Amino acid sequence: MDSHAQQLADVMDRIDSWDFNIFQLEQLCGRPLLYVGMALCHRWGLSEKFNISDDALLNFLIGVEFGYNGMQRSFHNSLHGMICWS
Amino acid sequence: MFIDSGGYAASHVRAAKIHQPEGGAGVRPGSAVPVLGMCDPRKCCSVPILSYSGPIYDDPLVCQQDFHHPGLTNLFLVSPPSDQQLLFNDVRVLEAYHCTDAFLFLREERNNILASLTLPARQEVRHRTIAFVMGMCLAGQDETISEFTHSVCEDAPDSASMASTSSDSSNSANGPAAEPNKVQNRLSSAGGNRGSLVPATPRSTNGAPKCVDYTRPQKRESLLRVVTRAADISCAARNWSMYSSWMDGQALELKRQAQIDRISKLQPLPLTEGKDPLDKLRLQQQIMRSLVKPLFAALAPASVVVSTHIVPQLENNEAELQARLLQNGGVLLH
Repeated sequence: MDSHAQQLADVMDRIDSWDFNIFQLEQLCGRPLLYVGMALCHRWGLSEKFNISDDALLNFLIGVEFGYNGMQRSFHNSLHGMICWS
Repeated sequence: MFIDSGGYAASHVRAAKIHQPEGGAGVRPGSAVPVLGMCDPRKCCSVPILSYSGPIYDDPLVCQQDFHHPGLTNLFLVSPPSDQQLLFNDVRVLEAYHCTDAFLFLREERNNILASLTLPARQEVRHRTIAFVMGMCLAGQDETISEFTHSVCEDAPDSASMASTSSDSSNSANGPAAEPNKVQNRLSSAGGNRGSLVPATPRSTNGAPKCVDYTRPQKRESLLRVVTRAADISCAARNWSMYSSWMDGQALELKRQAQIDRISKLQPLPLTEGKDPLDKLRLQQQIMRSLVKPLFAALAPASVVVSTHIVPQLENNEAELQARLLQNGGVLLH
C-alpha cells in the first residue's frame, strides 16, 4: 500500500472516534461525503436495512456531495453535511 | 453524529448501563425499530438519563440537512422579493428549502435510496427527516432545547428544578424564522449570564437521576432534534485542529453573509454583531457561549450513553469531555 493510501486508511480507521478528522480526510481524498457515507452505510448495515443497491447509494452520495460543493461555500459544504453524520 | 445500532450498542455500551425495562423494550440487535430502553435508577451509575439501546436515527438523509445551501441567511430569504419566502410562507425558509431540495433530489430514480421501502416506511423516514431538518433552525434552538428538557422533566416528580429552563419555551413552534427570539437576544447582549439555559439534571425524590422512556415517538423526536443540532456544531468540542478548521470556514461564510445583509440593509446577524471586519475571537466566544454550551449542557446528562459510538474512549470520562470543551473556548459543561 502506498503512503497516500495508507494515510487514507489510517484516517478512515478512526471513523468511530471522536477524533476522526474529516478535514484531513477531505485533504486526502477530496470526496469526504462519498468515502464516509459508503463506510457508514456498510458499517451500520444501512444498505441492507433500506435495501439500497450499490448503484443507488453511489449516485446518492456523489449527487449529495456535488449538491453541496457545487454551491462553493466555505462552511456549508459537503464536509459540514458529513459532520452531522459522522 | 450517527447514533446506531442495536448490535453496536450491545457491544459498546457497558452492560451495567442497560437494563431491560418491563415490557421487554431493551437492546434489540439488528432491530429496525428505534428503541431506547428505560433504565433503573437503582442500578444505574453516574449519567443514566438515557439508556441507549437502539438506533435513534440511522438515516442517511441526515447528510442532506444543509443540502444546496444558498449561503444566505433566513433573514435575507424572508426579505421580499425572495421566491423562497413566497414558497414557504416565511416559516423557517432556509430549512424548508433544504428539505424540499433533498426530497426533489431523491425523487430522481437513480438517486432514490428509499425506493425499496414500503410507503409507510418511506413516510416515516420523510417525517423524521423533516423533523430534524426543520429543527436545525438557529432561531429555534431555544425551543428545541426547551422541548427536550421538558420531555426529560415531564416524567420527573420534582420538575420544579427545571423551571428556569422551561420558561424559555414560549416561542411559537412555527414562528417566522426571521423573528428575533431569545437566542438572538442573548447573542445581542454581549457576554450576558446564560446560566439559565443550562438545564439541571432531573432527579427523582431519592436523588437518583431520572430515567425517561424514549420509546415514545414524541420524546424520541425531541431527542433526535437536539442530538442532530448538537451534531451540527460538534466540531466545537473536538480537537483543536478540527475546531480551528471548522471555525475558519464558519467565519468566512458569516463574513460573506454579513456583507450581503449589509448591502441589503438588513439587520446585522447577531453572531457577527454587525462588526466589519469580523471579530473572530468574539465570534468564537459567541458561538461557544450561546450555541454550543446550551446544547451540550442539555445533552450532558445523556451524552455518555447517547454518544457512545463516537466517544467510546470517553464513555466513563466526563472530565475529559469537559477538558476538550475548555480547550476549545472556555466552555464548561454543568
